[in-house]
Amino acid sequence: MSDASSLPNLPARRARRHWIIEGAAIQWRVISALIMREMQTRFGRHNLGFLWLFLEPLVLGTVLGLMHSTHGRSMPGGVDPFLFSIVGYVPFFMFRSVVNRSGTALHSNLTLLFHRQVTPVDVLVSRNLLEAAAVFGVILLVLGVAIWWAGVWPADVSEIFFAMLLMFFLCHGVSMILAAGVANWEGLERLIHPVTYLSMPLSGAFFALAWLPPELREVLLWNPLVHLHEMIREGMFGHAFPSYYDVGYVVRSILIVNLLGLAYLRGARRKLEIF
Amino acid sequence: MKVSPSIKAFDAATPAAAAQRRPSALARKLRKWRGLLLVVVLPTALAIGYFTAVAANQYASEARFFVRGPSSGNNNSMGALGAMLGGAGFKAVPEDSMAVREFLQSQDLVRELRKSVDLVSIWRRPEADLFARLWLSEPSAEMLTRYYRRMVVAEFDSESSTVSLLVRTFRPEDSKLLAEALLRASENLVNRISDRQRGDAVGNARREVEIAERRVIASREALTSFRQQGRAIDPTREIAASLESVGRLEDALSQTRAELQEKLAYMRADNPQMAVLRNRIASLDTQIRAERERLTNGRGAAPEVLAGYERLMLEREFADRQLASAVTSLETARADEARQHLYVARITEPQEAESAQYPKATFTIVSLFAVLLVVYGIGSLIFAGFREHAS
Repeated sequence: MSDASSLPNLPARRARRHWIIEGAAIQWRVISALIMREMQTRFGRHNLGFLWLFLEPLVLGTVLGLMHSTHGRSMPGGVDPFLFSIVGYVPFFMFRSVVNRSGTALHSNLTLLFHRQVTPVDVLVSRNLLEAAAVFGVILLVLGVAIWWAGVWPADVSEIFFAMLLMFFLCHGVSMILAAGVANWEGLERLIHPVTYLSMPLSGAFFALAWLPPELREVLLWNPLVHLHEMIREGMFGHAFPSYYDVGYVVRSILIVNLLGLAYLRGARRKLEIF
Repeated sequence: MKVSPSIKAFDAATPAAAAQRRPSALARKLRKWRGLLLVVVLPTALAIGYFTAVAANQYASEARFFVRGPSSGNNNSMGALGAMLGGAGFKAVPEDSMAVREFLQSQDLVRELRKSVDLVSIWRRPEADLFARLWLSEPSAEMLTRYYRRMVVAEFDSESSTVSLLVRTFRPEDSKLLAEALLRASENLVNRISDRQRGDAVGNARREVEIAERRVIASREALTSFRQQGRAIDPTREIAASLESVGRLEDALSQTRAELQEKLAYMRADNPQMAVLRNRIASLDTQIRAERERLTNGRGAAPEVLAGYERLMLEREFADRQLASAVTSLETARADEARQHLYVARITEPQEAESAQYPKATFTIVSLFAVLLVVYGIGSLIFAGFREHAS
């Protein structure tokens, strides 16, 4: 970018434009610069991190798929067990990679926050966008290979994308809350990893709600992740088995989580500036 | 001089007079909170206005039923994960109720219903308000179905495996009428499924029985005509009798021969007694030959008669057996049919609503307010971020 050459023009432009447009434009520039920087720290040094990004869902999906296949019994609705595990794990993978990296987000960018125009929200947005983009690429590739291998074409591609988009917003909200929480209490960071691992069975990644008794289903549906997984499964397998989800509920939880995240992050700023 | 923001909505109505005295303070406050006023207060006020002044009453009619049928086997394959998750009790999904629910939401049903019930005028009653009513007077099937799905909710409750039907219109009697029509339509559907399912088995069995009956009758008739033609009731016994008589004649012949030999020892050959014996032997001989001739040669000879008769008897036996088995299978088919009978069992009949339960004003307003508040919160935080960057 031609920062040096455009700098003299900035005051003139700022005078002409409304502060909303100006602020949004500056924020966007800050975020894209942060993304470039994050890209270096995330993938620049050693490529093993990038490779691991691909390997993890593949290995887990394969192991689970093999477990299902060797178990002998076929899945209800005649669904391929390998594909089922991949489709279940891959969205959860997005949740985990975004949320897990939220704990260190502010700490590793602490020096940048001394600049007036870099806010914690910028840091998290850029980090999550980058992470989501990477994960999304991996998901596309892995799903593509799995689909090609299993020979099953997804029933509704747009539904899968929509669910992934919702998943991103949900993860973004959660990561903001967690980042602010870590700023307030450092011990929280130690908890994020185990909790995300433990929440895996509760997230509806590896089973369809249709298999569960209604009481259990009701309990699990409090978790918006379960809705999203059901949605993605429906987008993938169509109506091989009934899916239970409520987009309205997911959108409401996204709104609430994002509000809490933004507000909490704003509050946590004072704590950060002490360092 | 503290004016709390919560009474802004009411202050906004009366500022014109007060504006003269202290224009700057109030205007500043209004300006400060204009986002909240625009995004949250105004839509909520509009919603309150709509629900109190404009919205027409909607009357609901509810019905609940389930589809009874043969227990469709609850040994569904449940997948490995079910076992992994502690073998939680898996319920078989009652497909028939699900099918009825799908049908109740389908365009097919709307088309069918339109023939018997005037859906368009029901949802375009004069008392209906502008937002809730059906907008088009000549809606296409697709538009009507979309509106129909808004006003008629059919839900499948997997716990009790019942289908609940909720119909909303602008008059209580309309709701009841529509709910009744929907129940009848689903009953028709279930009957159609049921008929197709069992009609074949019993029909086939009945046809089988008819064929067997015809065969039995034909075999009996063939036997009767054989008896009439052959002038014999039971050829086997007649043949046995004639064989017996041949045997007796042969006995007599050999006896007479023995007597002749004996008498030859002490009598002269021209003795008259000898002549008598010779005559008897000759006549016996011819008789035996004639009998043999009759049994083995010519029309009505014993082997042929016997073969024909035995064939007919065999045919009769087979026909009898076929009839017996056909009757048994008809009986089992009938029993199956009785078990496979599908029917709609009504749990609650649709009733005429006495008071309007819809639209749910309070719930809608409160949830709208809450959602708008959250949206405003997020928006204001994002805009605060913009302002921060711009400064």
